[in-house]
Amino acid sequence: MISKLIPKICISIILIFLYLPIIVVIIFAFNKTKSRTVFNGPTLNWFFELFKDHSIMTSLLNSFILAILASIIATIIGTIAALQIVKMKKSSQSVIMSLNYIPIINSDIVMGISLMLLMTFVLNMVGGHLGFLTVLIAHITLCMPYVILTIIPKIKQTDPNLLEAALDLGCTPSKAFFKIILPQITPGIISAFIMAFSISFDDFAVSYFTTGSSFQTLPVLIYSMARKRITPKINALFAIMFVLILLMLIIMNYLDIKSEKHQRKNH
Amino acid sequence: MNKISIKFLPYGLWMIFFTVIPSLMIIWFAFTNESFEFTLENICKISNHVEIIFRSILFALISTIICLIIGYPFAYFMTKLSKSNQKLCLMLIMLPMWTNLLLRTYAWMTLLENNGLINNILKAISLAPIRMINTPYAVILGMTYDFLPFMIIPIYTTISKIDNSLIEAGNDLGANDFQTFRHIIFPLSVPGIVSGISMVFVPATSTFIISQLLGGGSNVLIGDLIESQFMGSTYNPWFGSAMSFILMIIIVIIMAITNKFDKTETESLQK
Amino acid sequence: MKKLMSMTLVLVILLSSIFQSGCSPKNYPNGELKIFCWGEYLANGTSDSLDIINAFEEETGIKVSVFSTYDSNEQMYAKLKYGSVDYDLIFPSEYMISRLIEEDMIQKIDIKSLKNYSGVMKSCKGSVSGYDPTDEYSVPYAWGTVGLVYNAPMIEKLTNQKASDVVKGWKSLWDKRLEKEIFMFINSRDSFAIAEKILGYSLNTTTLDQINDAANLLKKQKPIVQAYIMDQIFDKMANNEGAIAPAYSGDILTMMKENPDLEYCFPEEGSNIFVDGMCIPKNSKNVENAHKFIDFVCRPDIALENANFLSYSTPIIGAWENLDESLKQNPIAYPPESIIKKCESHKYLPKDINAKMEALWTEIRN
Repeated sequence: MISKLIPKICISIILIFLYLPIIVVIIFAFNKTKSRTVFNGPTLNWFFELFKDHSIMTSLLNSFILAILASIIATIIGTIAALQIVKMKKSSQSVIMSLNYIPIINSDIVMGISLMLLMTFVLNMVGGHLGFLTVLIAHITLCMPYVILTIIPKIKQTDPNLLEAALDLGCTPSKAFFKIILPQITPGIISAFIMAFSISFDDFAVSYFTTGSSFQTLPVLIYSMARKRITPKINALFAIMFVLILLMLIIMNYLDIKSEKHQRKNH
Repeated sequence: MNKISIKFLPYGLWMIFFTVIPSLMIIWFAFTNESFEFTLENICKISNHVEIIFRSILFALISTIICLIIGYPFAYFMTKLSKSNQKLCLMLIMLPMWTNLLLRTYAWMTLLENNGLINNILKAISLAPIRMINTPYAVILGMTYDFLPFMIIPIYTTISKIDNSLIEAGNDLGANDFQTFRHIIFPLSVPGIVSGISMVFVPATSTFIISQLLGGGSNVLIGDLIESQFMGSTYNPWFGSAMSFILMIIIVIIMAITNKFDKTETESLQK
Repeated sequence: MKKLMSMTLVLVILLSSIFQSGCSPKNYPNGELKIFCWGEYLANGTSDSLDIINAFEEETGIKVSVFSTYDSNEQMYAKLKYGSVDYDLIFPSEYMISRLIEEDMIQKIDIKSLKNYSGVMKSCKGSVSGYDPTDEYSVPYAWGTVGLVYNAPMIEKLTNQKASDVVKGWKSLWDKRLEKEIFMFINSRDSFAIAEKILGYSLNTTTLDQINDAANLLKKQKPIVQAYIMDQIFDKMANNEGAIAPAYSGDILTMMKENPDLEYCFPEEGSNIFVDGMCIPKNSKNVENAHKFIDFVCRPDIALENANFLSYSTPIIGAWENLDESLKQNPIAYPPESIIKKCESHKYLPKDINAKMEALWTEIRN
């Protein structure tokens, strides 16, 4: 009996540890005053204020568009490359994979400054300014290695016999790819995309170093606020985003369970 | 072969332009001065900051070890839950990773301050308040908190992938729970531990947000030093690059050690 | 899968169009302006102030397309120095103005085109205190002094003495009874200035011995300092997180409004007086609009609104005259001549001295 309880207690304690700060942030989104420590009564005011705040809303939109674009581009380039990498010789594969590890091993701060050095160097020669494009390039660089790492195992899992069979039966290579390979690696592509999106959306350090005057992402804005004081508007934004992510995960989970049941029935 | 190279080109060029060349630029900057002449001055200056390097490694190591001590049992117990509970648990672990790290760290400031929530609770039950904010402990706590999910997830993944028949075979041969754990589960989960360690250690050595928000400006880490050379109080990208170069080397060394550990463990198992 | 992708794409396009139509309903025929300013250093519409940027946009038809903030002169300098940003207006302090002039990073302002320039106090101009000898590169924006802010009840509790008897000068920041209740500046220049004033040195000293003395003094202080911070000071002092801290006069007034327990002390050892100016970086693309903004901020009615929000001292005569009596007579914002005499302004130090100071500072905080 006790031995069954211990794991559950352990898990609960750690989950409480993980969620304590999050709950605090959310509770203080509903606080009447600006205080971060004393709860003076509930209000929804900060939510209305949030939607009126031009700079928060713009940077939220910036972050969103940036993350969508960066993750789409990284996923496309990464998938195309991954399909080729698996066909290569073992030796060139290992060279590419260790190259691919550089951005992952390099901490985000080193990556941010190295890209900044390169970009300011190039921009000072050709003219131009840090801004949306430089941050986008940096984010694609940040996401691509993870895309490769997620997709390659999925490609290796595909059944090569299926492709050969299709080709033998007179399928053109491109048709065979879209009919046979792509459906098999689609789950891998989706999870790579989701991963890239979350990396890009949450990234602070890389954007901090590669952004210029005209483009500010949400984490960069929050950082400049955290050095002064964070308004409860940000708490409100956090609460909304948390609920959205929670809903999304629940829906994904639900779909997952459904498709599993579906598969079991078919078998 | 030709076809391969054309399709591979975008990625290959991208990696060369935006990964290899920038990394080389750091090294180039580290060994030059303002007028781009070769110099060892930046590298020599690092010796003044050995303490900072040492502290960064120490803090990162401590928080990595704590993450492992908390994370491993958590991941192990998770695999004992029912399938649907496992999914729920995994979701709950991943959820904080999706939310903004800066805000979660800032929330700890609210909790740890002298008049913060924890101390207010302590006062309310008439206990003496504890000084927590702006201490090294706060920084380590912040690191542990922020990076714990990165430890749990890879360990959980490897343990949950262990073939159940192996464990059953162990049980059939008369191994008790502890023995199965010691001789089957633990060795097979080493790859997860290794990737967990690197996923916690790398961001922990290089963070500057956590030390800025929770360390009170007196627990300077490598990340702080680098940031201040590029964006903060001192403008000296050459020395900043030298520090980044050192940071890269530290990380590579740590990765090499963990990887080696990984290999010997798996090899010993294969024998 | 395809459905999912196309749905997200549609969502993105929809969202962005909503945002764009929602955010900029007006037309701005006269171009744009990119401002790089200190945090909370321009009236922004909160606490009943005038939203200066809005007012400027409406009056001139110029869009302020960028408004970024920095929290130290050096941070601003670094961003400019990389050369890949294109701000049109910056707000450096006097010693940074000298540096920017010397390194050819800001351009001359056409003073004659500024209608309201005649209303700028003489004493604040660069030619008087020497940071901008020809008055061509900068227009004063605000000025102030560095002083001490302390939490009287906390100090009384810690020392069992009247707070005003305890806090007399910078020395209180070294008072062991206030252990771990002390905040310090995180930037080297301001912290060294405090130590140098205690030792009776000039805060522009370039003698290595004197700088080392100051560093030793700061090193002694480190064990009793709770944190080295900058703009977080507002929040920390308002929440009674510490008992005493050095701060800029305008910030002190703001803090005192938020927390009635806070009091002010002008350090007997003397202090630092500063002027922040408005300058136009060399690579600005909207020079004319920057001029318009400078002129706008110098207009007495706008400067008055700004001065009420900032609590920093205004260099605009017309604004000062119309201030509330309480603020006009406030010795924190507008100290008497006797106090100003005890103040010294920062000058741009040679590069090697700066580097030395910075290295010592990192070592001290370590």
